[in-house]
Amino acid sequence: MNYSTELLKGTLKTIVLKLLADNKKMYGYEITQRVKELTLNKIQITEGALYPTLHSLEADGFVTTETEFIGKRVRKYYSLSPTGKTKTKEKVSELANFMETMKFLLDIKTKTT
Amino acid sequence: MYCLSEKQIDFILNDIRARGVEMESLQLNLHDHICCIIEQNLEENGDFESFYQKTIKTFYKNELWEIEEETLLLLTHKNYYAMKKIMILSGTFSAATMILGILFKFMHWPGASLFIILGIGTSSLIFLPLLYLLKSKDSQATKDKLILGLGILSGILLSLSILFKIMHWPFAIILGYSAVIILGLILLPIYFITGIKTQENKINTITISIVIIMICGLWLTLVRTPYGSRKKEITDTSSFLINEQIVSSQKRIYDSITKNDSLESNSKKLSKQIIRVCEKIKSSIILKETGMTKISTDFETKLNFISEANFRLPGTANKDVDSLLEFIKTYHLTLNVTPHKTKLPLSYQTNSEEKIPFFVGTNLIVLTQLQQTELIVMQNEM
Repeated sequence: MNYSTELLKGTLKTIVLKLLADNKKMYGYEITQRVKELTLNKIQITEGALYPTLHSLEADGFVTTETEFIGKRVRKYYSLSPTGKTKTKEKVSELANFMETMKFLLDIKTKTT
Repeated sequence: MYCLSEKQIDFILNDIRARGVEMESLQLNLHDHICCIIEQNLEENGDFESFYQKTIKTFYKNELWEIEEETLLLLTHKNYYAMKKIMILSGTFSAATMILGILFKFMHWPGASLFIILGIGTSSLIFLPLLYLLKSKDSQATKDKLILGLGILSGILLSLSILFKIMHWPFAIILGYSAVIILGLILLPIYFITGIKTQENKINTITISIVIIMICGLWLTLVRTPYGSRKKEITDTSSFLINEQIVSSQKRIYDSITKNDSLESNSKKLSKQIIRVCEKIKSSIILKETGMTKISTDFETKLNFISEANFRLPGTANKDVDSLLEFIKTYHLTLNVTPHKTKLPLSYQTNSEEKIPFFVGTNLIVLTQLQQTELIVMQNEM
């Protein structure tokens, strides 16, 4: 199952920030692959969504970039800035809270083991 | 795993540029990304060309530059919100300070002009320009942007003109006339001609055009005409000249009476010093206004007028003002002994009981005050 883009749009920033918090520095392709891996192909981030988000996070000062030459081409690594770290915590807890509320609102019964 | 050749790597970067992606950092992002995909997914002896074309297609819906557009949208979106916030804040601030300023003005509380300057200043220099930037984004046609720009520009000029006028700063009238000219002679024709053509906008266009004409008309009703200004300058200057004649004839009499006094009283000595300094200050004001030390009776042909400019003297004359105030203060002390004499009704101290402040107001007011001072002092001593 693939999730709708509307659903992913609101969470993409949080996903990217959390991944960067768990991995010191990452480049764009790596981020898409890691998300694919972790979600067992359920979430596939498109390039058209990922790079605008990364640029916007950079403009906000939440991530910093460093470039590295891989042969003839340039790779841009993204890592969290100090403000980005606090922002990640905020965003993750906000999303967790939101999911709780949605569960309640949509009356989703979670399986108890 | 496929190994990209240098030529292929260059080809990809050039292709990304050719597809309209202009931001360099985005070019590098996409370049590395595509190279990674090809290296990971294409077999060692696979067809680079067709695989590349297939891959790049998955990046977009219609064109590759959509990604750049989306990036720019996200980046400007942020400014957009900040600008909107600043616009609302500055608007609220200017409205609040305007209301306070008007309240203070009518209650005669101190600080009114500060509030009014802040109110008009913020609205015309921050609020209105931001309103233009934000609103012009909504309208697509250049014509609409032009009309909006001209409207906001004349609004800014008009409010600054009123601010400059009440503060007696220069160029107030020029600002006002430029606003009215832009509004009535440029904006109105463009707006009316373009608006009246479309049936659904007809009524709207007519009503707004009437409002624009009314605004221009009201402003032109409010201001003095150039002829009116000249008339007022003539009246003011001749009234000053008549006063001057009264002062000088009084002075002749005064001089002839006091000439033979062998023993001059203290107050008489002081009165002469007061008169001397008053004359000095008057001529420096007139020099500043007309470029001459005296205004002659043919001032109309020479165009030597006393304008409505606020009294402000260069540093040297300020010393004269200080010594005049000092003389008057001492003079008042001598008057305590002789109560039948008139005190000067002008306050030279901030906490004084006299209501009329000295050296505050237009040049004409200050000149009149100096003449009054001379006359009172002379009357006292005769």
